This record gives sequence, C-alpha cells and structure tokens, in this order.
Amino acid sequence: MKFIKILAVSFLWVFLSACGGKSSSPAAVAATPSLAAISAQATNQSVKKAVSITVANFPGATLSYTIASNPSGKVSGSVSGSTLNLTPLPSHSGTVAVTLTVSDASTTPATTAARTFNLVITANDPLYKYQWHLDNTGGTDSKNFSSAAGTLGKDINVDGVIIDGYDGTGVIVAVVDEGLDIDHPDLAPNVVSNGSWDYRDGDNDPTQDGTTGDHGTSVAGLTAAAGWNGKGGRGVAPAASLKGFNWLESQATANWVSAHGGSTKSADADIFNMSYGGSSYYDSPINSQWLTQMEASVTNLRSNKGAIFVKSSGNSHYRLGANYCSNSAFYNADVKTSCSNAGATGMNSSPYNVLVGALGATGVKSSYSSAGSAVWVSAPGGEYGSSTPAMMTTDDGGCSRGYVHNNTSSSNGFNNSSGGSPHSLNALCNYTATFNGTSSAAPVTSGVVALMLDANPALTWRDVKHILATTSTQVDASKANLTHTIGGVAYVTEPAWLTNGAGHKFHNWYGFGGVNVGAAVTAALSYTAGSLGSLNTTSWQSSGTINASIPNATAAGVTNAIAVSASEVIEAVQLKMNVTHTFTGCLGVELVSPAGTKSVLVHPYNMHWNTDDWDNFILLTNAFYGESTNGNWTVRVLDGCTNGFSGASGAVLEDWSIRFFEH
Amino acid sequence: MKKIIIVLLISLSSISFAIGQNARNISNIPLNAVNPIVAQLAQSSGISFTSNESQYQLILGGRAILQNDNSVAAQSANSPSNNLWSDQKGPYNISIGAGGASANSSLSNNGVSFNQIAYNPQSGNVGIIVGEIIVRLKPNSSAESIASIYGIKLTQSFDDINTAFYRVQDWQNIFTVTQALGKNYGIEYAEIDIIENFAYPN
Repeated sequence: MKFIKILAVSFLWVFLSACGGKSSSPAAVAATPSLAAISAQATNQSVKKAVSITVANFPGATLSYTIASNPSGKVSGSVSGSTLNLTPLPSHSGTVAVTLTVSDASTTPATTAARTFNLVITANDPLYKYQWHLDNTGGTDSKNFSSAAGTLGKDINVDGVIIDGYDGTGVIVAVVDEGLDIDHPDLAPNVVSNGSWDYRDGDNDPTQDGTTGDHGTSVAGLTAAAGWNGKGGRGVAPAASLKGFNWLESQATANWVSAHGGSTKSADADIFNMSYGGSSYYDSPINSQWLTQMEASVTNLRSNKGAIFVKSSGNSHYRLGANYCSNSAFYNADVKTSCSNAGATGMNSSPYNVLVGALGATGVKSSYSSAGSAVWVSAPGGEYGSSTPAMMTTDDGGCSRGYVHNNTSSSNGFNNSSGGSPHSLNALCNYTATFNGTSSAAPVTSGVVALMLDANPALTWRDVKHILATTSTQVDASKANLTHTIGGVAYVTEPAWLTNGAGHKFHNWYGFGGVNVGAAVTAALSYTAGSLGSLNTTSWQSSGTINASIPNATAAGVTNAIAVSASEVIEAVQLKMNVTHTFTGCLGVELVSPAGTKSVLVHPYNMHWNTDDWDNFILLTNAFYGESTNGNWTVRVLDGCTNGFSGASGAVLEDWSIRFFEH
Repeated sequence: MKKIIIVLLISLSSISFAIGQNARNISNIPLNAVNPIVAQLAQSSGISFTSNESQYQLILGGRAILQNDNSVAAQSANSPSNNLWSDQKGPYNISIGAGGASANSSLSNNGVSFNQIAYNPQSGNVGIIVGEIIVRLKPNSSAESIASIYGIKLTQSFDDINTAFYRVQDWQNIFTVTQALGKNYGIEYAEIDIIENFAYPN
C-alpha cells in the first residue's frame, strides 16, 4: 500500500540545549545570539506548506542562520533572511531533532550559537492527499483512485487559512440529512455531545439503522472530519462542531422546522447544511412553514446575525438526448443544455439559501450539477470516482455497514473490496472515495463558511453571502453560450459568463464562481460586519392582467415590462409567474434589468416535465446582485415547442410579478 | 415519522373546507392524475382541505404504509390483488384498497399502522397525510391551551414562528378538528400536514 502520510500538524518547540558560547573579543557586541524568541507561527500545518519561524533579532546584531542538522527524510528546511522555513516530509511523523546555528556577524569574531530543538510532528491524516478538493496536486493522488487526475490548483485554496490558524473552532454546523454516525472515529471529536436529534426514535442519536451507507455521515466528513488525528482525511473546517438531524428519515413539517433552527437542539447552529433536493417534475412550491422558519432563523439565530443555510443545487443536469431525462419528449428535443433547472423546485428559490453547484477535479462543472439563476456559488463535488475523481470522505463506521463493506464491488480501487477485504488504507471501512454530488459541494461550502465565521464571528448571514459572491473565483471562463434552435433562431439557453451592472460576474452553472477559502477568509477578516445595512423585502409588484398569447416555437416569445421607481441595491430578485400551457416544460423565462443585464431563469426543456400551467410559480435569480432596482424590468416568456409537441398547444402569459430583496 | 393508526374509518358526509390562504376553486382545476382511479376516488370522497396553499382531496380507502413494515397485515395490504391502485412515494407504499373505504376498515381492524393519503388535482400527485395539524397561533395564544380546549396532543411548539403542531386522539377526526381549530379566534390558520414532495439526498 501506499501510505504516504500527510504530515502536518502541530509544532511544539522544546529546546533541549543552549550551548552557544560568547566571544571574548573586546569588540564584541554584548548581545549573544539566542533562539529563545523562536516561536512557531503555525500550530496546524499542511504537508505542502512550510512552517515559517521568525527568530528575533538583536539591536546591533547581524544575524544569519543555518540548519546544522537536517534529518534526512524527516524534515527539510531553508533559511530566508531571519525566517526559517521547515517542511515536514510526508514519510515521517514523530519527533525530529533539528539543530539551528545562528551567527552574529557584528561581533569580531562572529558569535555563533547553536540550539537544538525538537520538532514534534503529531499524527497526520493519511487520506488527506487524496482529497483533491483541499489540495489538488494534479498528480496521481488527485485521482482519488479513479482513472484520471485532477488539475493542479483546482481546489478551494484552504491551506493558507489553516496555517493561519482558522479551523472552524467554535462554529456549529447542523447536518440535516439522513443520519450522522456520531461515534465515527473521525467525526466523534467534533460531534456536539447530545446535540443531535433522531426524529425516528426521539433521541439524541441519529445514527442510521440501515447498512447501505449513510449520506449524512459522508456529508459531515467533508465539512468537519477531524484533522491531524492519524485517521482518514480532513474536513474543510477540521475543528468545527457537528450536529446531526435526520429529517430526511422523517419528513413531517414539524421536524423540518425543528431541525432548521426551530428547536433548542438546532437553535445554536451557525450553519445548516442541506444536501437534499426535491422533484423538478412540476412547480412544487416551498413549504410555507419552511419559509417562515428560514426567515426566523436568519433573523434571530446567532444573536440576530442569522444562521447560514447552505443548500445543494441538485444533481439533474444532463444533456438532453441522453437517456437520463425520462420524458421521451425531451429525448427528441436534442437540446444541448440542462433538463433540470436548479430552480425547478420551490425550496431552491429561497433567497435565504446559499445554493451550491458542484465542480469536478478539473475545476469545471460536474456533469450532474443542476444549474440555474438561483445558484450562488460552486464548490468541489467531484464525479463518479471511476473514470474521474469523486470525493474522499467518511463512511458509516465499520465493515458491516456503509458504502464500503467487506466484499464491496467498485471500479474505484479504494472502495473495491470484492476480494473479501477492504483496501489496506481502509481496513475498518470507515471511508469512501466515491462520494459525490452537489451533496458534496454543499458541505464543502459549509466548511468554508465555518472558516469565515471562525475568522470573523460578527459576520451576518448576508455578509457571508456577500463575501462568497465577491471572492469566489471565475471558473471555466471561456465557456461559450449554449444555444438551441427555436424557430430558426439560435436561442441562448445557457448564457456565457455575464458581468452585471454592479460588476459581478455570474453564470447559471457556477453562480458567482468557485469558492476560494483564502480570499473569503481574507475578506472576512477585514470586513465590517453588518455593513450591508438592513434587508428589505419589497412587496410583489404585478404586471396586472396581460393574457398575451405566446407564439409557438419562437425565440421572440412575449415581452412585458414593469417599471420600478425605488432605487435600492439588489441582493436577489424573485419572479412570480402565471402562465397557461399544457406542457410547461416548453417554456422559457428571461429577465432584463434596467442596467441591461439579462438573466435566463428558465429555458425551454429545462424543467417540469409533466405538468401544465404555472400558477404563482416563483423563480429566483441572483444575476442582478448589486444592481439598482430602479427602472424598467422586462420579462420575456417564450414557448420552445411546436404545436403538437407532447400535446403542447397555445400558451398564454396571464401575468407576472417581481419583488426584490434589497438594501 | 410517527405513523397514525386509523382505528375508525372516516365515514364523513361531504366536508369541504379551506382554512389556508389562496384556496383554489377545485372545480376549475384540471385533473392531471396519471391514473383516473385516483382522481375519481378522491373527487368522490367529498372531503377536501387546503395545505401549503394547495388543495387536496382525501382518497377514501387510500393508505400509505412504510416500506419497511414487514408485518403480515402490511404485506397483505400491499398485495396487488388487494388494491385498485398502488405506487411508491418516499419511504411509503401507497395504495387504494380494492374495497374502497371498506378495505380501510378491514385494515384498521387488523391493526396495521398506516397514513391516509390525499390527491392534489392541480399537480396530479398524491400526498401522505402525516397525522399532524399545523396551527399558526395569533400573538398571546397559548399552544397548551389550544390542546386542552380541543382535547388534542401538542407534539411540538415553535414560539419564534407562533406555530404549534398537534395530533388528534384516536377517537377524533383530524379533518373536523382542523376545521374547528380554524374557526378559533386565537388561531390564524390551521391546516393538515401533508407531504406531497419528499426530499431526497443530493
């Protein structure tokens, strides 16, 4: 087995000796080089990063440093000015004796002192190096036991933040999911004792009874698997606290409210991770009780700073024409774009979400990641772990349950135990290398938010969203418009990156881009919490009755404008649509702001495969973030189907309304 | 999810009420059901209610049984030969007994735990009636007092959103109790909790 340990770690300096002599030269400067002021600037360290140690200088002294002993295979070091850079090598953990020689050239002769100290490298995380989302080397390890490597640097840029000491300490993440293995050895150190809830049995232990894998346990590991404990990999925020709420196992409305901030058990959570989704087959509205609780949680929790809801966008983006979209009508449409908009389900159209799409190890959209104007940011979620990398994370503990058992057949070398025993790096079957989905992208983002809150606990939920929007990295920048021919016109179904009137770049696949922890935490540190001011939600402004026929199979469709007189700064925009149609999957909706920014909220063949009419169907777009509300807002509704297409016939735009979340 | 045990089958005469907001005129709603039996039995039940701004019709004889219920009675209830229609939804097997309402009665006599189901004509979907009543309280109303007045069990209460959840006693009818709650001056609205769209891991 390859067991290259990922060292990293805590450094404890123990000075063993102080044997430097002092020159008797009368010209000598009184100061004697001393290492007493040496201090480690980082306590937790990633293997690829060197720890930097600054040695205090002395007045009048001209010091230089050399590493007298450099234990081969254990630590490498270099000196730059008064800074020593030491890198523990991946093959070693334990105690390393390093001797440092300091010379003071201002004395005659030069004064030299030697100090030997122990560098104590605590246990490492042996699977860390396969976690390409944390550190994508682009090398063999980034394959994570699949066939293809990732791309160098296509990760969340977290190492520097960890070195700076931010690890999520003090931040509580509620994982609302199927379950949470609270005794998992790599999660237990971070699980809040008696802080979880099991809605099936009414107790504190949401560990799943099933044996086929617990989604929540894998989700939790991506956020906050413990670090530097010699076990498995590491969460993005390895010291964040975890609570589990198995609402997916018991989906009564009361349980949702309870799990998302309504109960005392969940009310102390800073972040709610929601790696779940709903149907995109028809216009299912968000549960009104959920919405009420979300409003309460962003208003009241965290001492009125608001909890952060991090939600997966969905896993249904597949090219039409492939057999993933089940409705035969779509097969024939041969549209080159998504057959499932992230906003197709009402729960994704809440402005209180941080809706997260998924990225693969090459830094572009994961094949399945549901796209749409409701997406806020993107984060690594991986692919399927066979030909391309998935995510390495925790699995339900033990070989009698979980995604990985004894004798699990998998095309991924780590998960495959078809010979009867698990991979040597996974002897206890506590980890899986094939987890994926926007279910992965969300908890990665929850970890990012935990690091931001660790850096600046005063941030409000809107501050967090703002920082994510303004620090995320544009990915797949050259992605061109995707089009579909409608009525002889190449209609843009999936626009290329846009730059809106406020200067923010946005793409329906990626939101404001891929999360960048380093940039987000740096921004968080200097950010004045609450600087966005109060959030105002406008009332719905309606077009009034229109009842305009929408022509079949034309890109022009029907347009209508609403004039808005207030001049506020937009945080999100919602539309409420009333459209008559026998097959709403044919419909497209785009919105143009007064600044000229065009957002495609829905394109034909993008959602609702089996329903008629939109009745107060609510859509969300984030594309106008930072723009002004003032001016004419123009909606275009088009029908991409010809008459007779799956029974489609005359569509009518009855009316539409718009409202803003603004400051 | 707590299951409800239906001891007494609903033998209500036509009850129609809409407690929530934006109730639709059901006669104008197109029926999208993939199986006309579902829509027909739902419409014929005469029992409709509003939840989450959608209108539902109770399906008499309909039942939802957890798929992991391996009891003999549950297996019998799930047997295709005993059903006019069956499907799966979330963790449930849902079906309409071949005997309509009488099948329900038989099942309850056998002690099978199941949830009632209802039909949404707008979406064409069937939802699972959880067995709880959602009550939005007006300020200064007491969730405990409401429970006491109506003889129902307060299951969870959330002060931040002035909302309480209740279960009826075995001898009570959830529809009539909900209707009565909706008329209480201390209650903003009351509606039956129903799961039409199950969430699933992403």
